[in-house]
Amino acid sequence: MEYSSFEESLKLAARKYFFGKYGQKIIEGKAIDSDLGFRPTFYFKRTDHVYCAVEVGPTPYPQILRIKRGDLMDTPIAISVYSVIPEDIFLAKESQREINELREAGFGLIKVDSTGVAAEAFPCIPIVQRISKAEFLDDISGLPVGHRRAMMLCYESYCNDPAAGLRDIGDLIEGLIMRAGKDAAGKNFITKAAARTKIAQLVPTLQGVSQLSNANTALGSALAYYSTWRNQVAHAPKNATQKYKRYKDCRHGFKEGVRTAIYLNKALKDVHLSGKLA
Amino acid sequence: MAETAKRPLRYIAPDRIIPNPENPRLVFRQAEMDSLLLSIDRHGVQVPITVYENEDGNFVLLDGERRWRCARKLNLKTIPALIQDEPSELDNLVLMYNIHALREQWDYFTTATKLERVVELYGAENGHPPNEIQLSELTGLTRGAIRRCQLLIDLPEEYKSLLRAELDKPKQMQKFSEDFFIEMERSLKTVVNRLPEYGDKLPAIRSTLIDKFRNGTISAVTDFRQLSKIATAIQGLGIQERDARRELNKVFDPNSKSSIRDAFASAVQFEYRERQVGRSVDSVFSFIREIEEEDRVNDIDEDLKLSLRKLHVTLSRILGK
Repeated sequence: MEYSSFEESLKLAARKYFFGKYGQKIIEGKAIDSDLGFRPTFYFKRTDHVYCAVEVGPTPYPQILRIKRGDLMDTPIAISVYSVIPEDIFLAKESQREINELREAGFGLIKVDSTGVAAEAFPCIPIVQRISKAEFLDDISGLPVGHRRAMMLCYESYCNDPAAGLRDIGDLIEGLIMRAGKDAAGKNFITKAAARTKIAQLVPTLQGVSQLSNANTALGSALAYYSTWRNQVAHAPKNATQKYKRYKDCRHGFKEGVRTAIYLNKALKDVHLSGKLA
Repeated sequence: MAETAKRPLRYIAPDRIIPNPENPRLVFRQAEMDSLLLSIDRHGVQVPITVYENEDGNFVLLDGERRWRCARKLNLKTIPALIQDEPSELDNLVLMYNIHALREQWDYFTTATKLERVVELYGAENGHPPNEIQLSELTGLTRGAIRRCQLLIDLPEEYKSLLRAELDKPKQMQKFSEDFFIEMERSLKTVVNRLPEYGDKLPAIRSTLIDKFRNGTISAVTDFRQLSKIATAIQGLGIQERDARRELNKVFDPNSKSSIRDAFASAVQFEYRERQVGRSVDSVFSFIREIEEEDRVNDIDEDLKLSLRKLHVTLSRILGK
């Protein structure tokens, strides 16, 4: 027996939307995990290892999400959480602060119009992977403008698909190393052929140049990062524990990538290379 | 109601509890629910809910639906519950009334719908329907509330459906409320009592009034009281029937932009004002007679004397000496 048929129509619209998008079985009125202190309006398995919980109601940022955000971050399951509200409430001026809070907290939002059609207002990733924009901007504040722009693209990619964001950061670091090789060849520290090798060979070559010795540690860290995180993303996890660890580590990996890029950029400039991207 | 035997407290899984079938449409204020959710998250359920066990082995709520909903939302493993014997259908409904209608957890429409059912069940049990006093004692509602409920019960089905649909929306999105229909029905009843020829036209009239409210021609629910006043002015103020009818017809005409306020201003506003002033004049006159009888004319305040002299000059001018 439902509390309100208005919420019922909102719920039906949301079910239709998510089923249409992901085609997964919707489970209503049950908890995702018996130890998680939150029972969403409904949930489904988005992929093998990511759940999507949906909370339907009249307020953009429901109280249950506010009080259970910490638990959602700590639970060993990757869960994306969406709030579903009527479009009228989404458009109301007095809702905007709450909507921003919801977004900043790492939740997604679906709005349902008066004809019962649902549309995504903004997406979300599993909450355990969430990096707030404020936090990210603070992390990249030491980089030049061009690098910050490139980093923003990686962040936007991460916010939609953390694995893709991690790959993009890895590519950026690879780009820094390749450019360092090009710059070193330009100064005749290494040959052009050497500059065109893969970074696994290029980095030891650069580390062998005495004029670049002060950048050795940074180059080594960058190569280690690239090897670790590219492999991490490339290989499929074997079990549920590994899957969850993969999802949690994405966040750490992305932030680690940002730190590695900043460190490498500075180190390359200190040895009079451009520090630019390829 | 019969006394029920109580059993000790038990801790029941929320999934074994089902809502009471006599409680289909509870209205829970969001702020209250949020506050309760926070409290239960921090301190657990402090006040046991009340349930009875049904033949399926599930537990049906008698009291505590908010606590139960919060417990489910928080995925609590158990909730404390006091278990009572299963009540009769009438007892169950009356209990729901006393718990929920009086706490205003039912919207008025639900209260009205349930009242119909109480009347039915009482009639079946006692061989005759309850009168207003008995209904009031049974449900705890005032007689005025019962009369307002009756107006909603007597609404044609299409308007009940409209009201149900409106009540399903969040408060800020609702255009038509129970108050709207209560005021409209009350005023139409008054109009038909004075001018019975409108009785046959009620469906079309209702439709017009709803459209006019929807498009803002009728701007406030309380405007319907002026509609009643136009009708009662025929006897009360000696307004010509044809004048009242003319203005009412404009309001009831779907093609006319005339609002109730326009009709009131045109037909009877002056007369009502006149009556109001007449009462004030009687009051002044009564006061002056009193002070004359008590020989207290010299005690009159100077400001009042000045006002009375001004009034005297104005009255002499308009009424002639």
